[in-house]
Amino acid sequence: MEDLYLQVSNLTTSYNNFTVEKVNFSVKSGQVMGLIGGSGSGKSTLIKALVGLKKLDNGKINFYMNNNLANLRENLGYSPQENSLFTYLTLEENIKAFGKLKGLNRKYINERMDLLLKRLKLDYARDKKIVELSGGMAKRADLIISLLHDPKIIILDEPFSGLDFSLIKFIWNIVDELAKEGKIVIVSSHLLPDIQKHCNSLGFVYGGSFYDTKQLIYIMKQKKSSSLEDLFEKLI
Amino acid sequence: MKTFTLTIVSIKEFIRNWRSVILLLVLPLLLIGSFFVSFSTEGLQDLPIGVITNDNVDIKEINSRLSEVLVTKEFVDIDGCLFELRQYKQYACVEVIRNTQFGYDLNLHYDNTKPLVIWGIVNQIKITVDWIKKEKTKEIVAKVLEQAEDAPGYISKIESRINNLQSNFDNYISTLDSSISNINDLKLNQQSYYSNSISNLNAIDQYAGYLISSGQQPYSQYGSDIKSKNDLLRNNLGLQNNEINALNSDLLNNDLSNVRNSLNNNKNVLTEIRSNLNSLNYYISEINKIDPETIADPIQLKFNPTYLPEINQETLSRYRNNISDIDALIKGENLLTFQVIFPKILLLIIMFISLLTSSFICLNYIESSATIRIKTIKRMFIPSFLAIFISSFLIIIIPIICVIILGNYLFLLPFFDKALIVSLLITISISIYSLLGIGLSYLIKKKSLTLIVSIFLLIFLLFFSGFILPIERMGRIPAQIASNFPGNLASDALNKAIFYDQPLNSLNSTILILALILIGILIIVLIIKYFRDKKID
Repeated sequence: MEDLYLQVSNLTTSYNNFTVEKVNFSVKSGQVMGLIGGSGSGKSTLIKALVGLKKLDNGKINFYMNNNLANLRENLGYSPQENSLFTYLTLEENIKAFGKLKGLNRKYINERMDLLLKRLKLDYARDKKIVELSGGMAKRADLIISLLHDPKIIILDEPFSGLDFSLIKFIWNIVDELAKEGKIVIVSSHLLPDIQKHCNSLGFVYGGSFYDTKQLIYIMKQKKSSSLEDLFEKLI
Repeated sequence: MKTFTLTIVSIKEFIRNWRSVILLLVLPLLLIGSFFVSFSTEGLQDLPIGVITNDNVDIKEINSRLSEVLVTKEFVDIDGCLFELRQYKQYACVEVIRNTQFGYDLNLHYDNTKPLVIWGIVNQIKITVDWIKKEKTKEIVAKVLEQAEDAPGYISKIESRINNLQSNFDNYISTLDSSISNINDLKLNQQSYYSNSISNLNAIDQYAGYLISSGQQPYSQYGSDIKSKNDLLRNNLGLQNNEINALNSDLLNNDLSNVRNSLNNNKNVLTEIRSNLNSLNYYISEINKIDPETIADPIQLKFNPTYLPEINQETLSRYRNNISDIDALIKGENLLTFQVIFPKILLLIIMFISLLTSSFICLNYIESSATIRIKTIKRMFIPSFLAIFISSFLIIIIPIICVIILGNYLFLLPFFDKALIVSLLITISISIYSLLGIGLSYLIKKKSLTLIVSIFLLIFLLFFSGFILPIERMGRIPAQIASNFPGNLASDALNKAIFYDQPLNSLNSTILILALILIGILIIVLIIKYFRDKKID
């Protein structure tokens, strides 16, 4: 198991006139970081900055593997809020296409595809087009693509929206498994009890600022909140 | 590899979305089909025009002629016809008014708010009027020439009379010459007689002198009397001789000479008249040679189109059983009309399909949910651009090839014989318009807005490519700009290659300009993509 370390320092990113600034946090192997905040607070903007879709206005993102600086983009698996798949292609075609785009060889793609389809219980749907899949199936398909190149860091932007309870549970299990495998997982979600239950690191985006776990605990104490839900009710 | 993968994905996404297939492949093909089906090669048909009936003028001929090409309706006055014209029920009103005993004015009132159609109708009416004018002139000329045919007979009679007169004159002159000769003989005889008489009188005088010199009476008296009588006689004889001489001289030198001269002059006049008659006869014979058609229509306008389609053996074999069909096929208006507009239509289709398809595919890519994931992959700028371009090109080329096959086999245009030039021009044209569509999509990024702007761009390109208004009718500067627009350059080059068999090297400059335009647009599109890709929504 590799020793992974993601460090974000003084990151500032903006979208139109909205800015999220002074983002500082670090995540290690096996950690699941829950990114929380109200709607439109800038969670997705921050995630886009992390995955390289947005240029940083300021700050640094460093990723270390076994204490060596590594390429974040090559080791990143990203599942955006909306599923990011070719809708008129079958699941298998999607997997193969993204595998080729990521520069993976055919044998590796096939092996990973078989493995992930079984793991995410979509083996039966490999020949189905994405438009024919249900919301839950599409989300799992999207996860397969995100995990295809066996990334070290997995960033999931609101992966549970529109999913039923069993599927939410299923995906949390996957997240837990990935963490157990020693990967870094960052999950943004509004499901605060689940976040509290599954994440061992927190990031709170509020009013254009980022608060890490320690700061969040401090705020909770200040606001005398017993849970994240309680805090949200008081703040938002 | 990335480009290839994305291209395949893009094409699969396009083909599997039946809406896009219908929108961008089936509809354009239907549009092309309907265009060819709806285009009439017979020109203007069944268009109504009003003819004003007038008691003073017989318009039957005009009416019947016009009704062969147009639908005529008779009106009793011009106001009634103009009323219907303003209601778009009539395209024109024809009114014939007598202006002199034989002449007419043909007033043509036409609806100039329908310029494209009305000039066709006006032309039809003009052709009809010209035809009638020609026929009338021919009729009159034929009558004149018919009468001119009798003229040589009359001239011949006059010539005969002149001959008689000349003969009479010759007789008169001969008789006169004979009389002059007789008078001259008489004059000589008279001179001889006078000389003899004087000689005799002189002899008598001598004898009378002898008698006088004898001095014997009565003999000397007799001698004196004889001498005196002799002198008297000599004087009288001299007077008479002088009178006869004077008379002869007058007669010969003045009177008879004048008559002779006068006769000769008159004879010369007759000769001159004969010469003039000969000239007149020549002119009339020349007039009789004239064809009434030549007088009625002296300038024959013969149309010699420089482009006439050639028929190849393969086509010939298809129509082997009916030679007249081949002739109609080659020379008939149908084929030519379609042939000359075909390259323009082809480029019009390329413009429409390329711009719309490429912007559709590009917007599909931009708006695709998969794009956000693709953007997280490194070095995808060029592959994503190339994939959009190549997949657009491959999709566009299908209907275009269909149109080219149609042109080659149905309209007998040598697209395949000129495959290199045609493929070069079509590739460049498709690329230019596709890049415009891609650039526009990256610039706007929204389907609805891009659609509106694409339509405006299409109209702009249509106009400046000479599809709506020929560039020859534009102002100097717009015409200069339009003549360098890709549509116009490609159209001219394609026409030259297809119709006039121009080789590739004669089109080098045009292809070079098109290639430069393509490179220019490519650079602009890449710059737009670069800046727009940086902005994540």
